[in-house]
Amino acid sequence: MSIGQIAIGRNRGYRKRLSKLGLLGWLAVFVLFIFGVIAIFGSALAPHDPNKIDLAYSYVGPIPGHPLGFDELGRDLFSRLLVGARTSLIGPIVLVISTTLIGTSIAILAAWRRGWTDAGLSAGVDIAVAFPGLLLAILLSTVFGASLWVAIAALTLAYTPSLARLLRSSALRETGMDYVKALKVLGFSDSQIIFKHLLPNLAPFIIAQAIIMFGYATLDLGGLSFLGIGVQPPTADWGTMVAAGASGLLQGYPTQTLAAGSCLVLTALSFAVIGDRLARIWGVE
Amino acid sequence: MRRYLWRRIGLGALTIVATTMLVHLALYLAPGDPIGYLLNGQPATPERIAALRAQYNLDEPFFTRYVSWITGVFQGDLGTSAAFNADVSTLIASRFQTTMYLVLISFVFISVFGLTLGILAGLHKGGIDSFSMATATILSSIPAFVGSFILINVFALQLGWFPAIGGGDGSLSSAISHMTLPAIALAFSAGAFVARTTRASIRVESASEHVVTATVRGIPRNKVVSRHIVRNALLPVISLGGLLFVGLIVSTAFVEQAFAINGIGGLLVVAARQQDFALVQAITLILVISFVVVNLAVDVLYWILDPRIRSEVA
Repeated sequence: MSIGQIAIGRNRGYRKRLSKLGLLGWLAVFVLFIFGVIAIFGSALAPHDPNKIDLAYSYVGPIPGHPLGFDELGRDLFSRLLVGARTSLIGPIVLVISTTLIGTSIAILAAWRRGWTDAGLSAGVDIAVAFPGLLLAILLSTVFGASLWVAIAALTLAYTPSLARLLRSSALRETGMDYVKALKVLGFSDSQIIFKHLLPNLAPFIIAQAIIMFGYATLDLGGLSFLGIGVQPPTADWGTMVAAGASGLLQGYPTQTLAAGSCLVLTALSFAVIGDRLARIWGVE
Repeated sequence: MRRYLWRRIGLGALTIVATTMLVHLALYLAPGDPIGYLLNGQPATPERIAALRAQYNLDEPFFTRYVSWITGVFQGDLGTSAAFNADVSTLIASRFQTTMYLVLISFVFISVFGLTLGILAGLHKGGIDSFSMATATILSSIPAFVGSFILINVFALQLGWFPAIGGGDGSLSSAISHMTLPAIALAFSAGAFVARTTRASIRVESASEHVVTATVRGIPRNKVVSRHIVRNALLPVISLGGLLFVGLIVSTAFVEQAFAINGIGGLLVVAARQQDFALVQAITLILVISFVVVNLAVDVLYWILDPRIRSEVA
């Protein structure tokens, strides 16, 4: 027992070192916190009904009570932006969780069993890594029709191989260490070693990867919604809003496209900054 | 060399057959009857349905369908698009050149952005490194479908340097003026990716023994950099370029929609939204073939650039 605890002790300092995030890192955390609050309470915070159409206000600029003005159908842009935060962020959350669960399982299975299991899984991963995620999403939406859930399933399939490959090499390094051998000799069961010792030691790496992945997930799902094979209109979503504002932008009303686009970019940038900082702090670059 | 090349070609052919078969199988197993799309609004008389079922081999088993498709491909017949009610090869041919212009111009930007940032960051530490990597992080956070509109707004609408939409009239000069903004938008995230890979590769190479030896022997720094560091460091970047290529063709869908350009990527998305199987199959075939060809080219390039591979295989 004591051997395992000592081994865990190596990495447990990672919570304390969070203070090294730096000014930019904390700014990114702050931005994501605000977006998170908007995603949860967006519909309550929205000053107007995001789906109320009033063609008389089509493309009207900012007026008192409507800080961003109106879209092509006369809907209040600020309200749509607030309500859209939820659809734009729930997709990536589901995507990141499913990818992390499946990718971690594959990596641990390959590193724990080794031999044929590892060879088979690694060969599959090597083939799948070269397949572009966007193409997979397009093919799946051809087969099953376009929806957010099909897009999430396709991107899970596309993200999992590269995560599994990254995690497998760290898991292999970890399973080769003396403390794992010692725990095996001491008679601990496989699941005890994996869940109580191996996973906690891999946690910093997994968390850093998940946070970096979140940024890409936001952009990729937003992109699929932009192309019309993700979130379906009239649901307010940042990706579909970028597409919906396109004709307005060409006529000199760029607010909808640029505001929704900025939200996506800001989210992705914040996750990239935090993921990068955490990876450096925890030494898992 | 010949044996190595043949093995690669064989592997490529296998990839093409396996991938197209997989796509066919997925569409074959797709839920729902495609007959609704194939009718395309025409009255659903039993004769019409029977004719369509025969035309698209809908009642044949999977393997027969696949074989008749691939025989058709060798005869230059890619089938009929249900959504456009037109010959698939005609639809693709008119868009292929546009997409190739777009991808090639984008590749130039990716190489220039990515290699410059990556080599600068890799060779210098401190300010230049941080600045280059911060630029890469920002660029990789701007997806093509947002970057397109920023570029349209600033460089087409405000400054008027480039046309805002359209793909040009087919001539090279109009292609370049129409494709510059979309190509830059497409190059943002891929360029950032190349920059990061190049930087990491340069760092690994700079710390290697042969570079230290060269430095200690008194070889001038610029020669060490150009012949010992950069040349070796570019090898992994070249294979990354091969991997990026197909993703780049598919990603043209974003900029083609934003800039209203008629190309392969946009066509693929329309085909997917309309569940137009013949069109999706044909474009996938083109993508897989280009994947195989580009990676074959990368292998040959490796052969030429890296003597270690030559001795390993021979």
